[in-house]
Amino acid sequence: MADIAAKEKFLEQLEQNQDIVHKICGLYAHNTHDRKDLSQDIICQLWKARRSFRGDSKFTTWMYRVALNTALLNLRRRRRRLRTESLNGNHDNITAETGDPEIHLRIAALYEAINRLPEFDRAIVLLYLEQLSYTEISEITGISESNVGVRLVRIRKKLRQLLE
Amino acid sequence: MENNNLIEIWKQGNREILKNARFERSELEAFLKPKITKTTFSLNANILVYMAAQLAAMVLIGFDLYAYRSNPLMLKVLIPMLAACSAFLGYGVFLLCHIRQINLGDFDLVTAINKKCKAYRTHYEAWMWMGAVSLLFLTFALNALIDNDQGTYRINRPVFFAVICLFTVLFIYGAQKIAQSFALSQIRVYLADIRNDTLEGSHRLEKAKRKYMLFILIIALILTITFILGIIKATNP
Repeated sequence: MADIAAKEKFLEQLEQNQDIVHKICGLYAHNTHDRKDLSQDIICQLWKARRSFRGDSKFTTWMYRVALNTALLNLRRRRRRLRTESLNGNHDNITAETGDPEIHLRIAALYEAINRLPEFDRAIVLLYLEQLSYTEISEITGISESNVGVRLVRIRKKLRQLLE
Repeated sequence: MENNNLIEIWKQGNREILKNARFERSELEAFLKPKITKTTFSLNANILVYMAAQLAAMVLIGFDLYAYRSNPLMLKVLIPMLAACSAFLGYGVFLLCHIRQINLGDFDLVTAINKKCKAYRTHYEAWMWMGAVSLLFLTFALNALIDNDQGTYRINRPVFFAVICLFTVLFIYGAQKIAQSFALSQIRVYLADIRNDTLEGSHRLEKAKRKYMLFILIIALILTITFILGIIKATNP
């Protein structure tokens, strides 16, 4: 009985915060098939790790942490295949869904710029763009707050260069 | 470009991505069903193999204990072996739980990798010795059981026997150590890449992996040919 209740609660929280999964998949998987695979992996890993959530941090912080760990490890496993794929896979899908070409170009440029960053920096920039605090970014990634700050200055500078 | 602009573009991108990406509850449940069953059984294969060998050794030692029940010397050897095998098996269970805890724990990426490295250096190092000794126990128990059918167990050349035992343990440990070193180096490179903000190490490692694969293929080919020649020679003396 308790198991069913726990599963229900977990699924409810997951359903409420599933945007996190989609955003991470959008960044780390480059086509619809890979995104679906990665989202399944992340959801499964979240389910397996659900007992490790003790409520010390926010549910979303825990979710970002598990989801990013899964995405990064998954990326390593699939790197060989990913390297042969075009970085434009992601942007093509956005084109199909977006009506305004100017908005599309800006989004595509941002995604392409982020995709040019090292994978760990991609995680940091995702959390930054999601407007998480340095403390939360530090909790999720395991690097110190000051290191987060230093990296973000460098990442933003690089992103601006790439976008300009 | 201003930081606020970046965030605004990001939000617009998300709106597009999330427009059609939402999962229904039924989809989430469908994702979990097959994966949970699969992952429950996908435990560390190496540990499980050696645990199976330990279990087999314990069963064989059990048979030996019965077969040599009237031989006090053999009992003195077999009982400590059985106790050691039980202890090794217990350690295997502990190790599986420990690795599972690391994999499922609420750790950030860097901590999780550090914990894995530590587990490899400490618990797994001990486990490799236990695995090597367990296989020796398994072969000893099997030989003792076969010999019991033909009389009694007897070591004709004790020094030679000790050397062969030592060589066996070292060989099994060495083989595991090579595999462990490679796994550990992969984890270390990953950690270094995160710290140094590069991917160079990972790229180098992938090249090294391809070289290793070629080496393993050559060894496998040589062993297969030797095995086939051995069988041919044995069937045509």
